[in-house]
Amino acid sequence: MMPNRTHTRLVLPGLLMGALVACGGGDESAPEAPAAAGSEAPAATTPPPSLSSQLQDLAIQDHLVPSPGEMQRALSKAGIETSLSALVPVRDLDMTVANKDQVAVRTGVILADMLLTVKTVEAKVTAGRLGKIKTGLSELNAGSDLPAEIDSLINRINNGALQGDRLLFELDELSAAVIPEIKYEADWILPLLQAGAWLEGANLVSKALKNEGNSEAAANLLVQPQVVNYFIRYVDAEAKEKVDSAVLGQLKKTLDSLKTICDGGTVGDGELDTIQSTTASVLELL
Amino acid sequence: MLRTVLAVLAACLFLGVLPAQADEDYAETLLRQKIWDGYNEGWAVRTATTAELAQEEYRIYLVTLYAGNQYRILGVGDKDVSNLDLVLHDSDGNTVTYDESSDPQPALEYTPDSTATYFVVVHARTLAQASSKAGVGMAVTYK
Repeated sequence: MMPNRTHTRLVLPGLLMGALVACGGGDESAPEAPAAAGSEAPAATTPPPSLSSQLQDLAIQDHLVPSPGEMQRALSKAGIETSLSALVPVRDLDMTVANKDQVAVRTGVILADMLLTVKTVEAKVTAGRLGKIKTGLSELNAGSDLPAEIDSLINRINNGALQGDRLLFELDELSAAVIPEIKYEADWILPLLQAGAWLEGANLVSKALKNEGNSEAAANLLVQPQVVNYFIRYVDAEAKEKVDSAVLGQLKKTLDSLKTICDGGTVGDGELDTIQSTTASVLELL
Repeated sequence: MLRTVLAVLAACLFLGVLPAQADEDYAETLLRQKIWDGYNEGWAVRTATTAELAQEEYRIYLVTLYAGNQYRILGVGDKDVSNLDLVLHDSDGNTVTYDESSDPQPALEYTPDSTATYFVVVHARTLAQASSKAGVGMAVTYK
């Protein structure tokens, strides 16, 4: 499910890790290792050195944004009993609107809704959301491979061939591995789509915390300055070319508000209210 | 001329001396299998990606990890990878944890105390044919 495309390579010289250890062992639960020649690598004895700021700047950021399922898991681990799936609203978004920024954000929102509810809704609802995602990606000219893969998922869901853990796995994989590949078709889509999914998750988490009157867990669940900065960098760059995009304009306001909260470092009831209202303002615009 | 080229290619094939080709498909298939195996133990995937690396080359990924979630980072290499290394660095670049194996399929486990951004470094430490490239894969799974 990770389409085999020509990737933009980031290859770094072997400067920083000359001392990775090799003491045997490994993951006992892993399948048998493939036969590989020359497997007796020289053992290193010291931990790898720190990552220089120069190399940090070269890191790929496509996988920076956590997944909606990961948010749900963190919420549960923090002792919040409210399930995000119960808070996902019923939406009937038009995926064929003219504003492509809007389509990209909507696609991300529906992706989040689908991943959060897959265990709790009927299969046809999940298949319907997949259909919306497919329409959105087609509108965004995200290549032909991805819509075809989604069609295959829909068919297998509808005929009962894809269910249970396998369904979870393949939908997670769609989000974790397949959709990030769309940057090779149109690099502006991915950050907006990720922003839609992340803002939907953040909005639902803030609602869950409000429901339980628990703002103590908010800092670990909602303060993600690197993620917010990643979106801001993209929106700033895009806004120069699309000055009349209402979605980008509201997104920028929301992200600036979230950045202020991130910079403050703590989240109390007031900040939680702000997170809920400012993320809602983007979602309502859809 | 064509006959000569074909003859040389045939000889190379017969002798097994053709340079190795990076096999991202192989790495991808292996990675998918390992991720799927994890679902039986309650793991879910949040990131999975593949790349081609030469010996001693790296790929660095920025990821956000949640406090309290348990993470397992998986690495895989194609048949040409003898030793693939994984290192997790915090947002300041300090080394947090690293795999201590000489395995082409390393794994790291880590549970953050606070939600933060981390760097995952995938390092093609040793290839069977040092002059070639290899397909590698990396996945971040959680539970």
